[in-house]
Amino acid sequence: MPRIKNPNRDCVAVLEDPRTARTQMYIYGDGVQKSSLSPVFNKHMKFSTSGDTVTNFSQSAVGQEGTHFTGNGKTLCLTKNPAFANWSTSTGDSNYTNLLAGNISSIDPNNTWTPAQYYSDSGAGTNMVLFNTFGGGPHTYDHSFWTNVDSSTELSELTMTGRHTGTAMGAPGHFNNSYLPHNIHVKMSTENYLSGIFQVWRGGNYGYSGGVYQNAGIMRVNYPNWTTTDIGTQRTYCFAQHIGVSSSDNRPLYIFTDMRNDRTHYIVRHNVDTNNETVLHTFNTAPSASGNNQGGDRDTATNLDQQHKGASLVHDDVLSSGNKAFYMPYFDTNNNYFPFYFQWNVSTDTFTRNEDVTITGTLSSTHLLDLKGYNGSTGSFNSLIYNEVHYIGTDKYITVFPLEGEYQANDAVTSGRTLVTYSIDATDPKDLTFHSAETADLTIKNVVWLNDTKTLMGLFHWGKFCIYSFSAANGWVKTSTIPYTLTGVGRDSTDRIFAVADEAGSYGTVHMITPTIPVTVVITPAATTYNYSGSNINSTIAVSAYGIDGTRIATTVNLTVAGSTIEFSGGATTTAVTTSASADTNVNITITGAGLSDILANIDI
Amino acid sequence: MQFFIIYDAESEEATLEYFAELEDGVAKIYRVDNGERNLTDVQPWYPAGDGSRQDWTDLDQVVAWFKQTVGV
Repeated sequence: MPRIKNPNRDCVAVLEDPRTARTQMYIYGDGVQKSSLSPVFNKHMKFSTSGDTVTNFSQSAVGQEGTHFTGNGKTLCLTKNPAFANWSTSTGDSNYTNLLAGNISSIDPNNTWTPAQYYSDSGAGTNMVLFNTFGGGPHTYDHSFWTNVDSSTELSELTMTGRHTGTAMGAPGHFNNSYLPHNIHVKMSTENYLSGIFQVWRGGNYGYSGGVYQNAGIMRVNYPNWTTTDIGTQRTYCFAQHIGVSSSDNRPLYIFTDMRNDRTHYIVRHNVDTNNETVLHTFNTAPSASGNNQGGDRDTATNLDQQHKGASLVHDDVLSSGNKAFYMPYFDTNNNYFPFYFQWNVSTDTFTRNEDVTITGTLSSTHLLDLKGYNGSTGSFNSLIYNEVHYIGTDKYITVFPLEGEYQANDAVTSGRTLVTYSIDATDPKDLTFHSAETADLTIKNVVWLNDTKTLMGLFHWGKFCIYSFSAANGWVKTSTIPYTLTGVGRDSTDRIFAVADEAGSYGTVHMITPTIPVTVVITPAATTYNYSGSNINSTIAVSAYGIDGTRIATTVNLTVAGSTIEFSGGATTTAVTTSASADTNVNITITGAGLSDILANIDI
Repeated sequence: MQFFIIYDAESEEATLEYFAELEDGVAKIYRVDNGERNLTDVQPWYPAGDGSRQDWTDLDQVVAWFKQTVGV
């Protein structure tokens, strides 16, 4: 994982202009060519509403403890659904360890949440570049925007139109500072308003940071200048996800999911135009037993404990042509996963919750059973069960992820950090079959998808970041490990993967995770031991290089002998070998003496 | 129109004031913000727990529903 820049200021580590035609992006505020990342002389972001000023521009005070949080130069403002994690050694009821779930706050596949947003109204000739809680996730303040910008002007030439920041400032233009703006999800096409989620500040010690979802609701902010905020009805104990917009009236739709049980959901329509909301459906009846699904309410004081739940992305409903569907985690009284299959009739905006999903084969509790769960009102967003659909060709799978924010909470418990995957029947989406299970190395802090087909993903752990590749034959397999505590990982619009590492400095360091650059080089000698008896021994070593997804990469690997008992051809102690994308590459060596020598490998990037 | 309050024991802002009305089968909830009534919820149907939509029976049902749906 090449480090591409050391930190030099308290600033968003990588910032991408959401106007994809623009040619500049910004690393620690300094302009670089988006295509090559080469520096652009004397161009930098003006993180100010007046003048040519470079000021701090980070997500500050986000569940901070020491330096291990996604503020102070440890954030990413990228356009492709980045994911983040706060790092704290706090345990118990702490907001410092609440999850940052912005990456799953929208289940609209065409509008997943991102900190870098662009809205426009071509008819009115207005537009708005919005950096929305760019620390990543359920943060409640620091929104910056540029209004009515010229499409050909780089952001480095512009001063901000407005910025809302600071500690518990409250929603701009709203009388009560207890209401804090959060993720913006969509602009209603016919209205000069944006729709998003607010949270409620629950007092000086908690609620305003780290993603407390104890109280959340829908808000309306005006566009293209965010000067007023209209606060809707707050729902206690709920996690809100944006579903999409109605195809009949363009109004945004949300699902609120209660953490106190697995069966309570509210589908809410945001009537942006009339500044109020309507509950389209309430679902809170306990499912009946059916087949091996025992239904009912599980004991939320043991085993899985209380969990927030995160639905999958919306996808085509194979049971109803032209309509949509998504999965929501539900666990029966035996703590087994039988997800709800929600169907969305897009013509009428009516939703059906199917509770008769069947599981064939191993039930989830065999692998996933002991979770830390709810920690109290301050740490109310410490735990979340997330399920997501992913594809191999046209074959569909769904994986269940136990996300836990508390420090090392599930490290000692394998059933608290195991991913369980089911295959989905091609014609009956309610027919799931156990496919595989994969136990993560440590407590899973968050997950980030690293390609669009969702066959490559990364898991955030304390001290390392593990990349997994999915195949039909083997399920999720760990393909590489990056030995850093990462505060954020995401892709830009060209699919380059950026990461910010917490290397214990004041700020983060920016890295790139590039599929074509090896993360692993394997050198295997032809024999495990050599007995030198005075005569040279000719032999070979097999050299291979692997990328983040575990596949072989053809690249140049530089080899150096450290020692005096091995030589390459011609007596050389260094050589360069080109690896193969299909097989090991053999390199001739000669053992010239007794004793230990090492062969070191490095790669030019 | 019926006045009611929601007490949130964990919040510094302990009390929220609301008015509810039921007119022509449509329930409306107004939150009192700084002395002003703001219409926050328009509910043409009672969203029953089984996912169905039903007619409202009376204003008491509206108030009870709203208290339940905000989680107190």
